[in-house]
Amino acid sequence: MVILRKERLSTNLSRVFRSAFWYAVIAFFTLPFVFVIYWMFSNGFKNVVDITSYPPKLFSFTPTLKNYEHALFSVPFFKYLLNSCIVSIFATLGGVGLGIPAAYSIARFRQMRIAFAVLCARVIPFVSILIPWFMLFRTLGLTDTYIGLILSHLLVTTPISTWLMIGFFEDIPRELEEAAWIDGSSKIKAFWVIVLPLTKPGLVTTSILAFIFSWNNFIFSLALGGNNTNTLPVSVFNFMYFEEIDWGGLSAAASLITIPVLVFALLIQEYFVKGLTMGGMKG
Amino acid sequence: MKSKRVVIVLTIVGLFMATTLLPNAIAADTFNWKKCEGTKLRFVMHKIPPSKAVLETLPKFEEKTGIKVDAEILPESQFRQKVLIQFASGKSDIDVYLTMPANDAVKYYTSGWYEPLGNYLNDPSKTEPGYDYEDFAKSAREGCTIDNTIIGMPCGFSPAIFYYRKDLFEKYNVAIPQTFDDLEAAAKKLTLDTDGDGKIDIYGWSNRGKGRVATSVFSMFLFGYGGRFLDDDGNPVINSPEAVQALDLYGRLLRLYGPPGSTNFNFYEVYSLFQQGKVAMCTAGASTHKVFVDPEKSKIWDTVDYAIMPGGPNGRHSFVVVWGFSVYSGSKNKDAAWLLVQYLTDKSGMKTLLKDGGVTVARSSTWKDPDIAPITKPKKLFDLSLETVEKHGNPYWNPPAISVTELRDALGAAIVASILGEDVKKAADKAQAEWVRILKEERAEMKK
Amino acid sequence: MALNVAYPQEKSRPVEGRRSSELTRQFVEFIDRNLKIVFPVPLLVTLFLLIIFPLIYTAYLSFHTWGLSANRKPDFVWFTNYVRIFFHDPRFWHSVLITMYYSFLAVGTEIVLGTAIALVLNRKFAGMKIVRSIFILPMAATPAAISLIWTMMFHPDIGVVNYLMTRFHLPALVWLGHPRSALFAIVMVDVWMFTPFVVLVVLAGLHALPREPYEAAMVDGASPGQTLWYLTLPFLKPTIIVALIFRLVQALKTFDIIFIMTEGGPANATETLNLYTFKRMFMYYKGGYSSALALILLSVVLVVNIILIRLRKREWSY
Repeated sequence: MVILRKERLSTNLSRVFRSAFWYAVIAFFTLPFVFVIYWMFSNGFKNVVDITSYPPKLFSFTPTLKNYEHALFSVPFFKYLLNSCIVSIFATLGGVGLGIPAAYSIARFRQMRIAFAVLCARVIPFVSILIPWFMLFRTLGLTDTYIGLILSHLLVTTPISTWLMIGFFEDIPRELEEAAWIDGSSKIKAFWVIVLPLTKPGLVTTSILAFIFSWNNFIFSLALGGNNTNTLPVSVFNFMYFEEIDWGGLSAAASLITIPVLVFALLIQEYFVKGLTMGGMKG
Repeated sequence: MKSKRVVIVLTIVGLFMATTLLPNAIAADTFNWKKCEGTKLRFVMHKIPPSKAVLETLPKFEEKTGIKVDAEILPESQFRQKVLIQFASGKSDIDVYLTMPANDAVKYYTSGWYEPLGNYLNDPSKTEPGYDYEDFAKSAREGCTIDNTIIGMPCGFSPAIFYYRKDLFEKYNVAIPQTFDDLEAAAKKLTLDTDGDGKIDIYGWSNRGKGRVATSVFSMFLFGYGGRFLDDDGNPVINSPEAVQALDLYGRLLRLYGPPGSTNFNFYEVYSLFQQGKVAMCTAGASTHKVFVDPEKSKIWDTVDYAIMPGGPNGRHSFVVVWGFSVYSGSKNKDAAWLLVQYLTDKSGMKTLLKDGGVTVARSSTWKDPDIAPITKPKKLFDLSLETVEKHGNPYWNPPAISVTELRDALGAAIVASILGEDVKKAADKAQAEWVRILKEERAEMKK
Repeated sequence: MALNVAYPQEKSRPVEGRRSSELTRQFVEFIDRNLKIVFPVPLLVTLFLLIIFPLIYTAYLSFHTWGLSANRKPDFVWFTNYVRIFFHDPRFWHSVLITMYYSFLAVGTEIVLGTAIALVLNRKFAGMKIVRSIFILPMAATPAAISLIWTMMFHPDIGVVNYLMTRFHLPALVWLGHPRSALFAIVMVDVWMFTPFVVLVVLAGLHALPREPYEAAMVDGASPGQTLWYLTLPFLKPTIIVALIFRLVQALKTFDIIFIMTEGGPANATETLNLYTFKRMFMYYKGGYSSALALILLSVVLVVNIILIRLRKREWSY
């Protein structure tokens, strides 16, 4: 009895040490990424004179809400937010909607050439796209419209959606669908009812990444957008004046811009998976 | 007898009609703000000090003229990209835009993107009476004219002002530098290690060094030594002895008395350092003053002072940025666009633009207007700006060529080399060779 | 026509009375038979329509000179642009070198670091979801804003980076002010911004790992190191390659970060090919020359794509 208790104690201790160790490792790796984000967020609460002071004021500063006030009200922030949301959500939907069927087909039928073609959509540098696109979109009357921007963002969201989903579809054994086919189900139905739900975790990652790529995209919005459809990244530039850069306002605006992405990521995770599962899906 | 009476009656009737109808006929040809009612204009500008005032005045414009304005304000770099994409595609819907002639004029003019405004000015049905083009300062008018074509209506100046730390000057007994030699001596004296830890805490001088963007400040030194960008035949002389001297001084000042990393400094890094009290002297625009004296933004808000930029053997040549509003040549609403331009730059429009203070306004009458006295505080800065513009202002701080940016990049490389301590003569010769090549290509292109 | 005779035909269903369901059935059958065309086609058509005009236009312009003006139409000049780029433009070759150096250094670091972090994060722990959401943030902040903030952080005098360096007894560097350290600084920012991308992709791949081999390995008494080397990493290979494909292509075309932080300087030390192309087009107004540069950049990216997809194809047999 005594021996058992001692063993339990030492296993418990070693378990505690082990988790502490892993927590430390996680903290070590996460810290550099978090620090800069913290820096950006905290700058939003400082007066400009505190932002550029040296030694840097990591914690010891008097907070102010002026920057956030400025960021929210000196530009039509909520309009930009709405525009960004509309464009990015629909671009993500479009990217995923177009990419998933293609990815399934590529995964099941080993259509390497099609996969390559999708990849090639990313080869063209944006410098070469802007002027011809402007000509094209203008002729079609799509400048400064949501549809125009969403279409342009498809170029960013579809390749990543397709390629990530290829991998996730490959991981699902064919036997599952084949069983369904034998039972008389159509291929589409099997795909929709059986295969797709199994890729939910993958769908989450794909949607998040596609959304982020669209969210950050500024150059297409600059070239093809206008006053009605300007997106959030433009608002950041409003803090670059002739005389100065308003670091406080810039940091506040940049911080505000990250929040919707976080919200989107959290929502997507909740919607698709009630807590991301660990380990394999097979077996 | 009867016919004579008929004649008299007819004459009277005729005269009567003439005096009542003719004014109407003339009136139909006179200026009317509401002439283009119902049009929609697209207006793009980048952020300059009067931007906010411009935005605020647009609803009043709509009231007055019935023209709706879709205005967009972008930062300079993005503005240029957007405008370029639009104009290059040939399908732009922009009607009115801001232009910085020193940078844009030659390119935009030769590309045919400016609508010449001379005809509009001379047409009384299109221009309001009392607009008074001659009221604009001479250098403003010249700045917005190229090849005898008026391409924009001036809306403001920004002269370069010399800023310094009054407390440091007093403490170390330094006089306001008048010449470049004074400047260097002062910089040397004011590069200090104030807490004895072996590290320099205050730098005597700081300014832009990031290649291309530094050439405007550099032009003050170049012209101050008697150098030029191009000679009278249009050939580059950027490696003349005077130019080399200027390059040498500019690099030396930053290398010896400036903060580390100057080669990547744009204006904001310089200003941040100055606001943090780490720099004794620098240059900035007149409108930057308000940023230096704001306690929430600047540690040295109570000891900042300013003066005219020191000069060289060839005098003082503070560079002055001129802005103007132009009409796009491909606009479908040129008359309405011209109405907007006038509204923003006529006598009352100018007063509105000055509302945010700190920017020298382009009209002589506005300066003398008693209404603006409370706005143009501090008076000393305003007077200094005027003096700089009128006596020492140089609006030609860029080489007059199409490939301005490319030339500036080449010159900027020489500036960076000088700051890094490399052979200045070699760097200048290299820049010169580049300039020769660029201009040769440009001329060949133009001949076609 | 059946796609694959190995699969049995659909069992015939009892005849339905109404025409619409009959049509639906025929429609579904049609799609089923032609799945491998119907499913990818919308995507391919969309992409084709989006890029075909810019592609043709760029190729067309690359054989002309054009100052972007309305007055002067493009001038046909045969291969002059290409000849100049390859034989008379040292700045071009320099930018290619910088592009390669930057891309491989940044992406190499991101892949290694990202995989390591993903492996570490791949376990249950409290706050797991929050940590993973935090990892999204570096990518989520607008690159433009974050680049400016990094520029100030790299300020030699008042920047946070040097402050931290001195606190850890490391020398304070000039960072963006000197040609050599500037490139390194930019790589740092890139790694900071995009390692999370690799982390997320690899994490997703880790979720799909099969359980049996691990159970078998545990029974066989394999150490964690061996499991990692002989099981996990090989399983992760296709995922890592996908991350590599995306990051490498993106890195070759990086623009925002570099443009805002150094604009290609100091002294062109950070001028990548994409940046050089941009400058030629939008700042020097050389539409034809920059289109030729763009086509060359495009070809480089294409070649990289081909190489990487060959690697990925090999994984298809696993």
